[in-house]
Amino acid sequence: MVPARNHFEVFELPVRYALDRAQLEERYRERSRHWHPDRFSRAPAAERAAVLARATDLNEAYRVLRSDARRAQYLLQLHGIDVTREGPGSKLKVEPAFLMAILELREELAEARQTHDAARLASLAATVKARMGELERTLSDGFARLEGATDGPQDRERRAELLGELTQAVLAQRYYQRFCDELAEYKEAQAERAASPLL
Amino acid sequence: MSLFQIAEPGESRVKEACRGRVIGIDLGTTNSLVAVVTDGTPRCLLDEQGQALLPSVVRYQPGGPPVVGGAAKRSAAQAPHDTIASVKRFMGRGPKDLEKDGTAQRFGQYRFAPTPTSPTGEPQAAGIVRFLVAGDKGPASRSVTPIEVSAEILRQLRQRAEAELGGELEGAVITVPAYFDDAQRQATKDAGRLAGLNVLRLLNEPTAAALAYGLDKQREGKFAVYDLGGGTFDISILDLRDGIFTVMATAGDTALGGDDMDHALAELMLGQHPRRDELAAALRDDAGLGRELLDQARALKHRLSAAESAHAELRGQVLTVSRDELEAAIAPVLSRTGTPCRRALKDAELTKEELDGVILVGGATRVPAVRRFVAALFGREPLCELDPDQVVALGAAVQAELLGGESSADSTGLLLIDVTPLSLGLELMGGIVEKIIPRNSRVPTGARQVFTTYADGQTGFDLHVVQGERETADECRSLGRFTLTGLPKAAAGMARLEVTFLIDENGLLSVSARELNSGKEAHIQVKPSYGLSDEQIEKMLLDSFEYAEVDLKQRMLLEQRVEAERILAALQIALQRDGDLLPPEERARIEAAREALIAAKAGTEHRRIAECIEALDHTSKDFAQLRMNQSLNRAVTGRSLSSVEKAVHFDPDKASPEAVAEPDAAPPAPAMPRPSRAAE
Repeated sequence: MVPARNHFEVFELPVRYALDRAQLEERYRERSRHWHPDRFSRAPAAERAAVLARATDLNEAYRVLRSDARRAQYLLQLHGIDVTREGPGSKLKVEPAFLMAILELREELAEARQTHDAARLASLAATVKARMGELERTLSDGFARLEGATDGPQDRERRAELLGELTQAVLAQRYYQRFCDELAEYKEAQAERAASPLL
Repeated sequence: MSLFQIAEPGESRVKEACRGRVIGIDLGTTNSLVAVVTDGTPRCLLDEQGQALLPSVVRYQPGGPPVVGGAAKRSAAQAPHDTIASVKRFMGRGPKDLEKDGTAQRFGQYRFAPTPTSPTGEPQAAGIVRFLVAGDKGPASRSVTPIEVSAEILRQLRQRAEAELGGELEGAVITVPAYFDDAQRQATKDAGRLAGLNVLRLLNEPTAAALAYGLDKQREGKFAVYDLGGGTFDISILDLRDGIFTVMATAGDTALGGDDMDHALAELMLGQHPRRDELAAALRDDAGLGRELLDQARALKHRLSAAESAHAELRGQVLTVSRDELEAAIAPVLSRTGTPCRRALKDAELTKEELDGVILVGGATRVPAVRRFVAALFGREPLCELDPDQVVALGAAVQAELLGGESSADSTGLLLIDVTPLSLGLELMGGIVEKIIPRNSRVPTGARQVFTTYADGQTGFDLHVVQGERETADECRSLGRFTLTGLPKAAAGMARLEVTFLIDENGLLSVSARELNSGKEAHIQVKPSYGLSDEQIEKMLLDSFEYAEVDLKQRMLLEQRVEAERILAALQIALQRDGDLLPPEERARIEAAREALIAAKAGTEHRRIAECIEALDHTSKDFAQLRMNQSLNRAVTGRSLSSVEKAVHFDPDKASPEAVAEPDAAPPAPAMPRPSRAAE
């Protein structure tokens, strides 16, 4: 779904990957001072419904733009690429080489969990963190180039290539994120079991 | 702390005309409160005895409306099946949840209606909990849902507010634990409706507390609110800045609180009792014993907040518990609060060092061990200047005033931005959950999904909506089934049904759907998993008119009668057991006071009954103390009397006669010289 206004327009921000978080936060605050249901609790129903819709759009836009990963996905969506459709039966597929790499990491994770090998888990976490850092730079550079590109015929080919690269990067990011979530859940379960009162 | 801007000339008159009486209500597990804002300052409303706290206890009896509050709480052990306490733990829950929560069964207090079965005889997993209480047709002849029980508490607070404010209310803000799911929230809203309240908003408890703290001393910065109530635990991280209070993350456990500490302590006490096996067996059938044990455990817990050791009496045995023993018993409860705290900080992307403060909320945080635990957990001394019992209600009153008062439309006023605590998901084929709204999303928030049909001519659709973080639907909380009908007939895969999920500022879910090809709105029938349908609520509203408008005087009369019965019953037992300890003149005085109370109880003057209760209390004070000393002596062997007197600190003003009630026959007291009063 793409609403009438895109998420960037809600905040009057330029449509691009680079984002000033503080600015997003400020603009959110300015708008929510006006567009919040609590401001209209005594207003007639029609006004309340309109505000509810506005506030919902505001929060949805905020949620997407605030997260680097979601913002990247959204930008691809604006180009007609929906990464959530990835899977069998879809033209959208992550590269086999990457798939192999992720499978290897998963195997290592499974082994390390079984043997409760804290050192290995720490090293895996560091590896994934480093790779995600690389992806972040790929995305940052890639989107910058895409946004700077002009619209001639060679540029269209170049653009398609760039989008392909960015798509792969975003797909990879999703795999790594799932990996991190699993690792975090495991650590959490360990902490709970140890009942260690540390934050 | 004045809240409001000076209005523009002319503006204030219009706003004043529209202004109504609005209140804030903290509907707590153990105690409930109501507060209002007067001249810019929130304050809790007091009852006739000058108390702000209304115990969240409801006692049902045949031939009259239920009694709510202190009187109900004190008589709980005598009518354990008909006195519902901590009903909040049952809101939005089903019978299956009770099985998982073993404690409800262990101190077996309530009778529940059997789980409904489907026409083929299969037990239905979901469904609402129903208590069986005394009704006009005898014991267990009336069934009430947690929503109705909560409504009784809300009704009492509503009447307190109306009496004080001099008229009908325009609206109320009711607080809920931040971690409450949609079913629990909906149940709370329904209870409000049933109690005749216009619920302006459901407000999260930690947010309410932050509001009260934020206004007090104009605090700014990032704060964690550690809210440990009677039955629920919440941890919220908020950013307070320029009049906007934003929740950054929230986590918790809706089945963890002071009650669990009481249970742990009760187990400890049981273990210490010389007749523990006999009592443990008796617990299964004697609900009064269970209630008594919990009441004693709670009293002990309170006392140990101020003393290093304290004692309680259980069925003729004096038990002594030290603060260390209490702390060991409750350690697992505290440790369980650690996990949500970790997760909240992680979701907020903050380290504990980056916080500007930690706020303690909830009566259970008065226990010294909790304060130490929180200080250690967050690496700093927590803030607790505001009364942890009142702070939530005060915050709710402020929010009520913001919504219903003069400055609601003022864009420079205070604003609360809250979040939904649990991810919202849809159950897909194979039982997997697809998350459509992640947890900690700011509300109101929404998501849209487009579905299509899988069979030719299919005109309807079933959606199972859940809340939670797990991968499979059965590990999440089931909110309900949404059946969409009215799709135009078409070949499989042709229809495009856009379903919109909306979580509003109360954290409540609503679903709408539209068929995109035709543009038609689909009709949605909602079947809540753990709640009541609109029709059921309507019916209750009609039924409740019978008892709904019991006035204040009537209510007081009923309360005093219940109180009188309790005291008379306890006195009866005391006289049976130890009447021979009394010199004849004293006994005669006590009997006379008793007769006076019995006479007053039969009348309709609630003040007269209260007077007679006080007189009887006063007359039997020495007797009570005598019995207590007697008990202590029986408990101690081989030690000199004077050493016992020095070791045990006994405050006669705090001893209650009924604490020594014992239905079973005990061996006759040995002939002993009358012990002298413990040395001051």
